[in-house]
Amino acid sequence: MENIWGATQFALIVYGIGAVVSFLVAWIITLTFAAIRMHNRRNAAPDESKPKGSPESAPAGPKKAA
Amino acid sequence: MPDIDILNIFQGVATMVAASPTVAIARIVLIALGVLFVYLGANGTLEPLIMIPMGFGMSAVNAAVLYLSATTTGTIFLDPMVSEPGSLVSILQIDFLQPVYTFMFSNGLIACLVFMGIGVISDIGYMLISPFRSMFIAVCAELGTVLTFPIAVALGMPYKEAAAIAMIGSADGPMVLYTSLILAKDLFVPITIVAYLYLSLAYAGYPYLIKLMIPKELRGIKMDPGKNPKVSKAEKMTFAVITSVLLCLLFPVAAPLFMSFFLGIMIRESGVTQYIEFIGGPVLYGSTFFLGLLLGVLCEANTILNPKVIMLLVLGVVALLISGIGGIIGGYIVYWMSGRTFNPAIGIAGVSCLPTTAKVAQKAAREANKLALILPAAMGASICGVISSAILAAIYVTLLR
Repeated sequence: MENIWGATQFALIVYGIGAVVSFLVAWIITLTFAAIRMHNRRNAAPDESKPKGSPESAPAGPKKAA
Repeated sequence: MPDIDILNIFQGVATMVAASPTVAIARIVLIALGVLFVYLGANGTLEPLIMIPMGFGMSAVNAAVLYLSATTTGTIFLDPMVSEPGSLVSILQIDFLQPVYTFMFSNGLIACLVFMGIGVISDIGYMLISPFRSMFIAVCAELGTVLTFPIAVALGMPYKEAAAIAMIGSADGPMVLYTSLILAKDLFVPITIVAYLYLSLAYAGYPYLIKLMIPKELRGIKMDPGKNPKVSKAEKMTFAVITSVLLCLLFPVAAPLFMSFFLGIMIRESGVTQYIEFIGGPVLYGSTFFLGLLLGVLCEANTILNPKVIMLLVLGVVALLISGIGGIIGGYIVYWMSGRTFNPAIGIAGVSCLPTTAKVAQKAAREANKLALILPAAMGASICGVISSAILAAIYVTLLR
């Protein structure tokens, strides 16, 4: 009986550690997402702040056609 | 003219006649069972990729017993019990499957190659859509992996063997093979055979469990695909590298499995077509073929006559059943937490039999509502199931090795 109780306690500890590590992985995923998206937003921000008349931001298609 | 003993010409028959009635009957039953597995695999009732080579090997090895010397019998397929280097070198030159067994099977390489292949065919984008939700379902679906352990101990199994058999609840063949090779070397053949047999049967049994536990209107809930964010390759690759390093750091003993799986994911996302085709094709299917064949060849009558096999058969069913129930309970919890917009049938996909359980969930939803598309969310839960079961295997192996 003692052995079964010990095994149950052991199983619960394994489950607990497993759950914590699994959620740690999920948290890493969320963190990775947030970091990459923040980086992408920062990269995009300078482009948006450039004046509309500058050659880089002007739509190239019609001018070339002209 | 020398004396001719007809039975000595047909040694497969001679060894059967000379063996004890129990062994002789077991051999005949296993030959018939092997043929049945081939038949059920070929008509699609059981998983053909494993069952056809396994059934073929099982029937052939039990027929092909011969006299190795005047007093000993055996086969020239392979000898799993040889460990002394001198004998091993001799056996490697005689038994035709011994090289595959020694250099790929008994060191877990074949499990890692299958895992690498699974990584290549897994799109983790599904999992990255809602990581906490998918992981929660996966953790719930590990209930069988945990609860079977004390049940096995209560039935008199030592901790190491109990942990190896409990891993069947994770429904992940390579994982069961890897764990039992480390923790229960004497029982790894029957444990792995029971695992693969039940994984094939899970495809047929889980739909009934879903119907039993989830009413039709809930099975038919449509998931909104518009909510799914786009996940870039860079995000997937970053996740694979970081998670692989972290898990290898935490559980070095299971590092080969973690590295193989995440390497597979990395190869998929890297877009190197040659590697993707090689690992997702010849490596995955070649490993699966030899895995099935070797499992069949290891099903000799003397191995299967181990009295613990009956117990393994019972515990295997218990583990998969509890895991299925745990997954569906997880699905229900998410259903309530999401304001009743989540399809609880996705819970079964947390049992990490990738992609089988995800397909089972989708099929159950489609039967209830033709417009219900839950496969992306189910695949996410299934991939999380692979990761969570690898984590549990690593903890068992680290604590009990």
